[in-house]
Amino acid sequence: MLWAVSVIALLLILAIIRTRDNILAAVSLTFLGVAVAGAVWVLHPEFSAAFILITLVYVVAALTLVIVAAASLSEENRTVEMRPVALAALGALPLLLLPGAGRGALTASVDPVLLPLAAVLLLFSFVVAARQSHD
Amino acid sequence: MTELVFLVLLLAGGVAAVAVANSLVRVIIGAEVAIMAGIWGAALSRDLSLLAVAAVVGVAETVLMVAAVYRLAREGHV
Repeated sequence: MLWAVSVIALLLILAIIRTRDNILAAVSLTFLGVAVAGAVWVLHPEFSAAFILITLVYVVAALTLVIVAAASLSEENRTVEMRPVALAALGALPLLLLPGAGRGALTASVDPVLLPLAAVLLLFSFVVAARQSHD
Repeated sequence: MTELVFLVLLLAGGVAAVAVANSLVRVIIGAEVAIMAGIWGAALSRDLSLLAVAAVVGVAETVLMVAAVYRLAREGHV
């Protein structure tokens, strides 16, 4: 079952890479978010699927709108060159082969202490974003 | 095994999208794919708290990236 999601994700990533249109790439990103949420649900049905699905889908869909708005603003044809940065990041992939700590017990509940911390972090980033983009 | 393949697929796909990007919007989209690899890695840890933290941090970081590129686009740098 996970193989099917992997194939779908591969097709979506190829679509993001191949398409020339920023808006189509953002829409493909939204569907990729749905695919990842489905993969989490396939892997651990014990996790409350609603939380994960709503978080991922809402976040990616809302940010897609913002990315689309930003993309429609930029009509200048200056290109960026990020290939060295990307290759440096790819160099860290062998770190995945290091042995991990093994499988722990499945905990399907969120620590309540995390909620105010997460709320403060989100509020902080929204305040910074608003101040940065509306000066 | 499939879980690790999916993780590497998301990571490598995001980095590839960044590598072939010709605009900053594409760089953000590639970084989003890599953030999904982080969320998937947190899901592999079988801990819902870690998954929630990964999702929240992904949101916060993406908000900041989008705000920065919006500012740059208004000033004509994108």
